[in-house]
Amino acid sequence: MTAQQFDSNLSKLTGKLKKEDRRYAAIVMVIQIFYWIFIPLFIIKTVEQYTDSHNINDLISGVALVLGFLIIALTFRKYYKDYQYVDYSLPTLEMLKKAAYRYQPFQKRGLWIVPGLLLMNVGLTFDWIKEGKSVLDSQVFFLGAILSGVLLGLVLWYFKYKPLRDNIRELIKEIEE
Amino acid sequence: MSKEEKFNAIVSENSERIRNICRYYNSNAEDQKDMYQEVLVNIWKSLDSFRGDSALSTWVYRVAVNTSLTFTGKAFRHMKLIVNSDTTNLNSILDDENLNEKFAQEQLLERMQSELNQLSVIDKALISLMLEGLSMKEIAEVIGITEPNVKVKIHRVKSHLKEKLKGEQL
Repeated sequence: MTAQQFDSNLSKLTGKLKKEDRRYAAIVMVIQIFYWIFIPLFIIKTVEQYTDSHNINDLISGVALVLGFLIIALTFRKYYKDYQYVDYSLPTLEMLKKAAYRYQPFQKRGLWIVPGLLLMNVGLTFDWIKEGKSVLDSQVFFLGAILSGVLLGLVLWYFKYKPLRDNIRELIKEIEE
Repeated sequence: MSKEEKFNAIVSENSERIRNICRYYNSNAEDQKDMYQEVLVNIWKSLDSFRGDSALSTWVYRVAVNTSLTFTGKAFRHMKLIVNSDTTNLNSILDDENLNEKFAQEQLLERMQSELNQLSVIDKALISLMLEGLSMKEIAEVIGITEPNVKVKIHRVKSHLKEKLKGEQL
């Protein structure tokens, strides 16, 4: 490869990389739009509903849903950032350990989702009570949805990420022994 | 200095190092090119984390070796280490000054090639760094283990290779 070809290829690649950075920034912006525009709109809707009905259930449901959305949106934003930007310049062993942590099905930092889900559950329950449905109905629906989601996630993890994680753990073991 | 300028400077200073690592793991030019591109992508992605704590060359080797371990489309177990008779520091594997002459015999090189490919992924990474002429300390910094640990591992690989190639050298 001549020096000219090398420069030209490099400039093409830099262009692609900058495009990739812009794409990442755009995705982050969409998530930000979600919680900086959509959430305030939801707050306005809740306030309007409560002003009209003076029903405390409207207020509790709206506030709980907004907080739940906010916590989940922020958690996903953090997840996306961590997955998008893997630091390849770390020492190999450290990079592999971080990768093994990333690919485990349940993580400590994932606990942030729990209060978010609980708040959404509260929001949904109060909304259904308002519509004359029982607490049991909402719990069956909510827990069913969460359980299905977790099961689906575990199946996907088992086939897609577990083999990868097993390989990574083998490499870690090999380096450390 | 902008990110782009910093990136261009790192790549032009280290392109040969990156190419060498890519050559160790890919026999055909197309795969070498793909891996080279992937290393550059990872250099770009990791650029913000470069604080200058380690030498730039060590930092580049880390990105290159880590990319080789996760190179898209390459199964870990089938990753090959490719060496040829003009690979610099090849004789350092067996600590034998006269080996260059012996390596001229194609059969021995082929045998060595085959033995190198039996090595584990991590041993291949260690050997590729050794072939690049890195010191034990630098290899330790790239892999993230202690220097004595690197020495032990490399000694183990050398003994294994010597044992396997014993018959060929006689």
